[in-house]
Amino acid sequence: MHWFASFTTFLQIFVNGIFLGCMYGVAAIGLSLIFGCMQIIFLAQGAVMILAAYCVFWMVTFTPLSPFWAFIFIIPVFLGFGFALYTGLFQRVAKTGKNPSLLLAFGLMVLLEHVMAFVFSADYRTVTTKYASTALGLAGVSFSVNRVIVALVACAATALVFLFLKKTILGKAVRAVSEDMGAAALLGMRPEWVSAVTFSIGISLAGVAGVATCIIFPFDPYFGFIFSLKALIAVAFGGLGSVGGVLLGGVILGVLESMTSYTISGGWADAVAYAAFLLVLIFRPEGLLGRRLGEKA
Amino acid sequence: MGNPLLEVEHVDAFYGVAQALWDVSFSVEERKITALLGANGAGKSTLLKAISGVVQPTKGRIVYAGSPLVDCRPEMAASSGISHVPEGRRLFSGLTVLENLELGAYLPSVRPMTKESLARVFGLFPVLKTRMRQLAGTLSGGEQQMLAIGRALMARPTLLLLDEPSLGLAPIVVKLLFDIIKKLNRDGVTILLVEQNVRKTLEIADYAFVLKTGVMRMEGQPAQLLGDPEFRQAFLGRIG
Amino acid sequence: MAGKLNSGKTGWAVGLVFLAFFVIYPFVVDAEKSYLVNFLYTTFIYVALAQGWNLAGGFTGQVSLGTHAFFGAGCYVTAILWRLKVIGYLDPVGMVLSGICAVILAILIGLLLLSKLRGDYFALGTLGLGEILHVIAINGGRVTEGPMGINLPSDAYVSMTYYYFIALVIALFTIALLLVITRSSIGLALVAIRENEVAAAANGVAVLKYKVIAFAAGAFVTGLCGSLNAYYTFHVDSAGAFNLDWVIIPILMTILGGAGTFLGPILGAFILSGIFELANMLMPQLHPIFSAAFIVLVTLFLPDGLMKYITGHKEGVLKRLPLFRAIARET
Repeated sequence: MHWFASFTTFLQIFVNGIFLGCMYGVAAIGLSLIFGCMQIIFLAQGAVMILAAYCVFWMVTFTPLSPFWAFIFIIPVFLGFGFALYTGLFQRVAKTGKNPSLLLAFGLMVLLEHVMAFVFSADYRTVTTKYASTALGLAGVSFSVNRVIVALVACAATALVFLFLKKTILGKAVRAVSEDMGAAALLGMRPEWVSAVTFSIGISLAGVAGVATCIIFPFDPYFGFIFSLKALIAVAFGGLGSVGGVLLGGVILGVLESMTSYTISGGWADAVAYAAFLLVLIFRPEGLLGRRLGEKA
Repeated sequence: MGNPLLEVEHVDAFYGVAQALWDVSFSVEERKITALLGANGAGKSTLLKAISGVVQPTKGRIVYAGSPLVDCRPEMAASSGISHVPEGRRLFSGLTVLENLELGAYLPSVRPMTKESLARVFGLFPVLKTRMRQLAGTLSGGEQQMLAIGRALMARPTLLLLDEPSLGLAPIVVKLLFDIIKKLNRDGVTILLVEQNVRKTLEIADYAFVLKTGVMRMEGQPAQLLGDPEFRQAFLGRIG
Repeated sequence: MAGKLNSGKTGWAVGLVFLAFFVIYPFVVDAEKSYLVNFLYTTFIYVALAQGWNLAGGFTGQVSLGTHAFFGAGCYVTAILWRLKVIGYLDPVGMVLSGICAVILAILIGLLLLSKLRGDYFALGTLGLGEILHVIAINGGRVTEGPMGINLPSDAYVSMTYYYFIALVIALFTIALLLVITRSSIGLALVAIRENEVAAAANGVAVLKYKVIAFAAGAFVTGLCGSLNAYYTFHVDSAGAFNLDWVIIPILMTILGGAGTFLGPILGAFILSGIFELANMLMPQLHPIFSAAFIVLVTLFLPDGLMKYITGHKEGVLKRLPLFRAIARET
C-alpha cells in the first residue's frame, strides 16, 4: 500500500476521480434509462461509447475540427442510431421476454467490438485537443482543462436529461412507461414509440460518454465491456429512478477507482470496484438515492 | 331501449391460458350507468380488459360507437374514447399527482385542453388539488382511487370503465365515490361499473348484468334484480 | 400407445448409434491428426458446459453469467496442484478436486447471492464474481504467476485419444446428471421454481436449497471442464481461463437449442460448434464477426430455441423426418 504524500496529493487524486466519475455517470444514466424501458442491462452500452470514440477519432483525423465539436454532432447522430437499433432489432424481441433482449444486447456488443476491430484495427487510438497539456491550478491542485470541459459537458447532459424527464410530456411518458407499461397504454401512450425514444436517448448518452472518454484516454475496440460494467456499477451505487443519483454513483465509483489505483494498484482498482458492486447489490440494492433496480416504487 | 354505445357479442376470452369468458353478450347504453356484477373470478375484469384492448377476444366481437373493435390495442381504445380505470388503480406511484393527471391527457386529441380538464378534475376532487405535488404513492387509498378516476377523466372519455373502485375503501369514502360517479354520469359520461359492492351499485345503476364463472347469467333493472330470489340468494344471502 | 413406446425407443436407439460412432471413431483414424476428433473433443466440452448451465439457467430459470468463474477456478486449481506435484497428469482425483472447489465456490456465492438477489441481479453478481476472480488471478503473485500464467510440463502429453474420451465421459456424465435430476422430484421442484417461484415457495418447496443445488451441480461440471482444459493447453493464464467466451458460448448454445429442454444444449452445442468451425475455415478473419452476427440472428428469429421450434411446429418440414420425430417425442 502506498499512502498519499500530502493532502494536496489526496485532493488531486480525489478530483481526478470526480472527473473520471462524471464520464461513468453519463453512460450510466443512459444505461438506467434503457433498463427502465427494456428491463434489461444493456451490455452493449460500452461498445456504443467506443463507437462514438472512433467517430471522433476519424473526425479529428480528416477534419481540422477540435474534438469538442463532436459533443454537438454526436447527439443527433446517436439519437438516430439508437432509434434505428430499437426499431430494427430490439422491438422484435421486446415481446418475447427479457432473456432474448439480454442476449441480443450481448450479441450486439460482441458484434460491434469485432466489426470495429476489423474495420479500424485493434490498435490503441488517442485523440488530443489543444488543451491536452493545459491545466488550471487551484489550491495546489491541477485541473486539466480537458477534464474540466468534459466534466462540465457531463453535468450539462445530465441536466438536460433531467429537465426532459421532469418537464416535458414525453419525458413524463418515458417515466410512466418504465414504471407501468400497461397502465400507460391504457392512457393512450404507445409503448413502442416511448421505448424507442427512451432507448435513443440512452444511446446518445453513451455517445456523449464516448466522446468524453476518447478525449481523456487512449482506447481500443475491446474497452467497451469494462465500461459497460463500470456504468452498471455506477447505476447500482446511485440507484435507479434518480438521474442525479446515478451521476453521483458514477462519481463515487470514479473516486473509489482513483484512490485505489493510487494507493494499491490499477489492477486492484477493478477488483475493488466489483467487490463494492456486489456489496451494494446485496446490502443496499436501492443504491443511495433511488429505487431498487426493477422494483416499483 | 336507448342507443347502445357498446355491444359485446358472443365473446370468448382467455386470461393467460385459462378461459375466462364463454359466449358473453351484453350491451351498454349511452349516457347510462351499467353495472357488471359477479363474484371474484367471475371474469368481470377480463371482460373490461377485452373492451379496452388489453386482452383480445378469441371469438365474437365488440362494437363500440357503431364500429367493431378489431385487434384493438389499449392505446387505440383510449384514443377512441374508452377510458379504463384498472383494478388496483395502477397509478404511477413514482410521479406526482399532477404528473399523473397530465399523463391522463396524453392523447394529442385532448392534450390542448389539459388546463380545462385539470380544473374540472380538481373541481370534482378538491383533495387532489391540495396534494398536487405529492408523489402518487404517498396518497391514501381513497385519494388514490380518486386520482385514478381523475386521471381517466383527463382523456375526456365517452365510455368510462371502472374496475372495482370501492375495493378496500372505507364506507364513507365509498359513498363519496359513488356520488361522484353519479355526477359524472349526469355530465354525460357513459359508465360501465364493475363492482362487488352490490347494494350501493344497484342504488345508482340504470341496468345491471350478472356474470358467473365466465357466463352471463342474469340481467335487468335494479328493482327487478332485487326482487329476484336467485339474485337475492346469490348476492344478498337470503330469500324473500 | 404402442406407437409411442416405439418412438421413445427410436430416440434412444438413435442416441446409441451416435455414441457407438463416437466411441469407435478415434480408433479407426489417426487421432492425433484427425480433424473430426479434435472438433468432437471441443464439442463434447461445450456439450458439458451448455448442459451444466442449462440446469440452473434453463430448468430453474436462474440465468448465471458466471460460468467463467468456475471454469477458471477449475483451470487454476488443477494447474496449481499439478505444479505442486500433489496430483499428476490427467489425474481423476485432481479433476474431481477442481470440480469440488468449483462447487464450494458455487455454494458460497450461490447462498449469498440467490438468497438476496432477484434474477438479473443474480446474473450480474455471478458476472462480477468471475471478474473478481480474474483480477485475483492477475494479482496472485507466486501462486497464480500473475498475468503470464502457469506453465505446465507439456512433455507429459501422451495422446489426443485420452483427452477425447475424458471429454466424452464428462459430457455423458453431465447428460446423465441432467437426466436423473430432471426426472426426479428435484427436477419437478426446479421447474416449479422457474414457472412461479412464489407459488412454489407457498407449496413448501425449499426454493433457495434447490436453486443452490442446480447452480452447484452446473458449477461442478464446469470445474471439471476447466480442469481438463488446463491439462489440454498445458498453460493457464487469467485471460484464457476467465475469458468471457466461456460464458457466452455455452449460453448461446443452450438458447439456440432450447433452454430448459433436455436435448436442446446438445443440439445447440453441435450446431454452433459446427458453425464456428465452418466460419473459421471459410473466412478466418471474419470469423468472430460472423459468430457474433449469428448470435444476433438467433436471438431475433429463434428466441425460444430449436427444440421448441421442432416440437411446436406441427407442419414443419423437419417434423417429417423420422429422426426429428423421434427426438421430438422423446422430449
